[in-house]
Amino acid sequence: MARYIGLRILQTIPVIIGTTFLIYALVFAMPGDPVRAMFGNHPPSEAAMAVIRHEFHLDEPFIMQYLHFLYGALTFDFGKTFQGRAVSDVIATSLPITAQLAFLAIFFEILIGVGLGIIVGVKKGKIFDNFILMSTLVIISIPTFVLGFVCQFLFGVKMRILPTTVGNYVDLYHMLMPALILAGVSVSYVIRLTRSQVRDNMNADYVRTARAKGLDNKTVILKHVLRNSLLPVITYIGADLGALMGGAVVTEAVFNINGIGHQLYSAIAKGEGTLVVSLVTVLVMIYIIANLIVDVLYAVLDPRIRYGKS
Amino acid sequence: MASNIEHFVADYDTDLSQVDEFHTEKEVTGLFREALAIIIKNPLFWISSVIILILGSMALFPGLWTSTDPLYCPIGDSNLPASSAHILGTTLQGCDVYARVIDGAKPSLAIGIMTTIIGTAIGVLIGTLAGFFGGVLDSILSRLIDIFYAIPFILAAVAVLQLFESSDSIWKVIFTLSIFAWVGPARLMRSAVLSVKQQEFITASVSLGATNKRNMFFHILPNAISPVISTATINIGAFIVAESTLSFLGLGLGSNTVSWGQDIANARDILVTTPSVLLWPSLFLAVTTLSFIFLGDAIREALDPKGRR
Amino acid sequence: MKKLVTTLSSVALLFVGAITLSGCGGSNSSSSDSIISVYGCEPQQTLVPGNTNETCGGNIINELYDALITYDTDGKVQNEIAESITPSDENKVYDVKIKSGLTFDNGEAITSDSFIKSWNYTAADENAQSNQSFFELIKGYDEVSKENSKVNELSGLQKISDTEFKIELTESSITFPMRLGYSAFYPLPVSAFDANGKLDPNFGEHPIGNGPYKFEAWNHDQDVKLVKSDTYKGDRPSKNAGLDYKIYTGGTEAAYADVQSGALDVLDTVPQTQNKTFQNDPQVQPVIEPSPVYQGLEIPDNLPHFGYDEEGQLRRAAISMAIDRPTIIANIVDGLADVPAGFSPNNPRISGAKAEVKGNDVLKFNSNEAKQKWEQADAISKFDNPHLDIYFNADGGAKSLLEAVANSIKTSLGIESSVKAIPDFKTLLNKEAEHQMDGAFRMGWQPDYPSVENYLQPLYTTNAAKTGSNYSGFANKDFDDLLLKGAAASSIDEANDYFTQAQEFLMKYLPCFPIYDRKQNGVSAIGVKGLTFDWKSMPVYTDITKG
Repeated sequence: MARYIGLRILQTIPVIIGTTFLIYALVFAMPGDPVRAMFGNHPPSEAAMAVIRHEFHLDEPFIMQYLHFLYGALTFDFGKTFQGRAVSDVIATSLPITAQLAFLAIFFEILIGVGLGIIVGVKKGKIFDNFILMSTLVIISIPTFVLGFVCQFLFGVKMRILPTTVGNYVDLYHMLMPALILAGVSVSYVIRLTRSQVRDNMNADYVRTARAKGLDNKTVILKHVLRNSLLPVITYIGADLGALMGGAVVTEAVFNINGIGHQLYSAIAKGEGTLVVSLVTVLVMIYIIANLIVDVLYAVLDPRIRYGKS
Repeated sequence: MASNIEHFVADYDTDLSQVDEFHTEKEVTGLFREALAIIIKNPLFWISSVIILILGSMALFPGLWTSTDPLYCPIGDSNLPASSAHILGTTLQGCDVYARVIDGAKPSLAIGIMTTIIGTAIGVLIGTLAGFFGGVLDSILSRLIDIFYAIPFILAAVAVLQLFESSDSIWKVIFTLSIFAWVGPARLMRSAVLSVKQQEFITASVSLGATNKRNMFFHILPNAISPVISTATINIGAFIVAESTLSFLGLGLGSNTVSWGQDIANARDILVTTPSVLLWPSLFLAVTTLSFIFLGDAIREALDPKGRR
Repeated sequence: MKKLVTTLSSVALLFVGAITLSGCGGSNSSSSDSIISVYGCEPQQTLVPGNTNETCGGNIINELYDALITYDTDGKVQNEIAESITPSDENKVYDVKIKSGLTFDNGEAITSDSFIKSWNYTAADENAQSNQSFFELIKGYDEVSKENSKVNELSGLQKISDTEFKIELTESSITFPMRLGYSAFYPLPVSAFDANGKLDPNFGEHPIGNGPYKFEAWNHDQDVKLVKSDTYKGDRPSKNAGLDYKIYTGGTEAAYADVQSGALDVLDTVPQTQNKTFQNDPQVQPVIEPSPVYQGLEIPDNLPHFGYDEEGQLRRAAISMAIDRPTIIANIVDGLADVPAGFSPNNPRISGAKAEVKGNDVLKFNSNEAKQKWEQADAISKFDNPHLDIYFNADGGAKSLLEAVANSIKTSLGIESSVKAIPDFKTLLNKEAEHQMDGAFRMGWQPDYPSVENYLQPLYTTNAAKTGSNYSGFANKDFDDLLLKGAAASSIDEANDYFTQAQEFLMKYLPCFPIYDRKQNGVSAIGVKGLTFDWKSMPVYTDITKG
């Protein structure tokens, strides 16, 4: 197993090189001139714009820009934003905020998603199952920006039991509502996934065997059914972590959270290649680690799965 | 509890050669025929099919449902309440909500269904290959999945959609969404295959001389597809909403094409005063998703060999 | 339920560029202890006046600095740091005398050098400052802005003494003193520059100003904190103890919810989603005032059939008259705007603004005449374009307005018209500047100084195709001459007469179709007092109190 993990960590190198190259190419291919846009309705002299282009290597060919980035990354210098801030500083402030939001959301996914999934999976064809299904549908059909604002108004403005926005109060209390909203859609997937897995496994031979052995229902479900049902659920949640880290743009905007999603969006809109690529590099590393943990968990949950030999 | 257990034991006078016999050809047809037999007995299958047929008729023959032009929007008719002329009222721009909901069915269903089919097909193929063969192939395919997961959706959408800048075709949206739609199913499929291929019946089938191809498609795939189906049916709804996000970012369909996603995105401006403009396209979206979830459940239960007793 | 519906906050119009700058004016009064929390957004650049040309940074910069002049409520120039600004040589040379005894927050006296060093720095290419183009009128600009130029000082700036300097222009301009209120012309402490005239690279993170507030802290993407300056001797001392700009990264909707819940004191732009409700919202205090901003539509002259010849003039007039402005204003912006009378809003705070401009019938909705003109144009050359598309940037939030305009054109003229989104501002700008637009596009204008000249010169003169925002391809010598005559006039009134003639001239060609003159809508939380707006629709922060 140690060898397998070592190999996987080694594999991150080509992934990061591949991803950053791809992202740089995409940013480079985007339309519009980021330098001209900085000046809005007051275009300066060409010479002044040339100074900025030179400073950010924008006057060089694509491959050179990419090599500049790679070289900088190797020496842990990710460069500066157009504003003049160190990119590493942008990441250092926004990453912990997003991480807190994402992990809280994952926590709710597990708690609510897996919990309810087991209940509706075990109790076949009950009213409760349909109620959960309907709630799931509501969450899927209403866009996050609407759901977010309705909750913000109800709990923040009307009842005043939760804060309306996060801003610079990054703590559990302020993050509670955004994390729940962010988890919403994923919770629907986790419920459906857990439910179908539990249902499938309730009919499996080993469950019959376990029951035949005289085990009580609770033990059968918790020790046998769940263990065998969790694999796809864990896969989904592991993959979702990456999506939640980088893709929470709307939730972050609704609740004024200064996270990676916002930074990524505005960097793309402004055409700040270096910032985009650096943020994605961080995301891809998080993503790879999350998936590695998931793959290791496979082997733990299902001892028959073996890595390292094929 | 023990009384519930059925017994699968051949009659004592059965010939032994009969017990050991394999009907390899017969089993193939049997798998799907059996599934069909199960599915037609499922009321959920019928309910969802009828709803999907109704939605399909809206998509293919909108003229059956309305004769109002959904793109005729006099600004003087802005935000009218429901009346005999506009049975569901009008939008901010003065368009007829009912006509727009009907006309929006075609692009919305096309985007939801096509993206799901394309994404699921590619995802299932790649996930199965990675999980089944393992080793180097698994490493390469899994890392490819990692790379695609890491690309920010918005960035790729901007880059891809500007290639089709002048086009209003729904295919550009389907194409853009499909770039990402295969990744989730691929990972799910890989994990399910990893788990299924260790099970006794696969070992048994291998020891009986089944080929890799045969194992993959007739033994592992049906046993491993269940989680993918569960998420794919939700995905149909999620992709229809994703088109709304694309419209919101100025990357979706043009305003010449009516879609539920666009109307949901547009409704946000008047959500406070006229929530009904949001309600109708969302309701159609919810019903569509529900039907496909039901249909998916029915198919999944019918296909799953474990549920077949 | 009604209350729920009326106050239900809605959607993330994620990327609405909120137009927010800050203000001047105010009166002497005692201060209270309270810090006022106000809506803010992350500045594009660090807080250097010469490098701040957008609203997020401008909003803060304007409270940190006083300029040579300010404007009274009628848009007239009033001296602030300047003791006097005396024109000579037909408004080509200005002699500036500075009030003595004024200082920066670090105690340094404000002298001629505070201005000359700052202006030279902003004008020089090698420093690539956003506001460089503001110095193009000053003699020597061509030399400092040439490629690889070794000249770093504007020859038109001459120090006479510590309290007096001369500004020499390349051409006459009666409106030049008006421009001196803009952030490009703020002074900077001499101690911030090194021997080579380079600004301390960290200055923008810790700016030293001379305004009513002193810089305290900036947590990027979170907040900017200013406290009342204790050395300030100017005309607009603060009535509160300081400002806390809370930065909203996702637009004004979240800020509105915060005002409702009392977590934010002042929001200067009501989100579009609350347009219908904020005036009756019991959880906020609404303020509505005139604004210098207007929204319009432009059609580039290289679009077939829309040149400035006879056919193009007819088509442009037809399009303009096809737009049902009153109904659009009533329904899309809920009446919070006025039908335009000319090419600048009819706002008394704008020098030279007129309630009626001759020939403005073409800005009034008349579908019959529109159709007639369109048919006359068709007689000259048949309109073979299947449609007229309207482009806009999706991160700018004007979709519903333009959709209504497109529908109006469609209904009135019977041609196909629909809106097309371009993902972001930089892409739109590129297409505009490169004349690659194959349809109409949206424009909105916020002036830099309160004169009608600033609504005409940067948008429609021939020269502005290179150095300004003329994207419609309008180039007409007679029009250029009218503006030059206005600038060379001997009095502001005379200048404004020429500017009015220039507006009348444009009615025939319509390089732009004004659609509405915006009103400024702001809200303050319950318990907050004194929210008003200055001429450029920025809150007069110094007057706000609470508690």
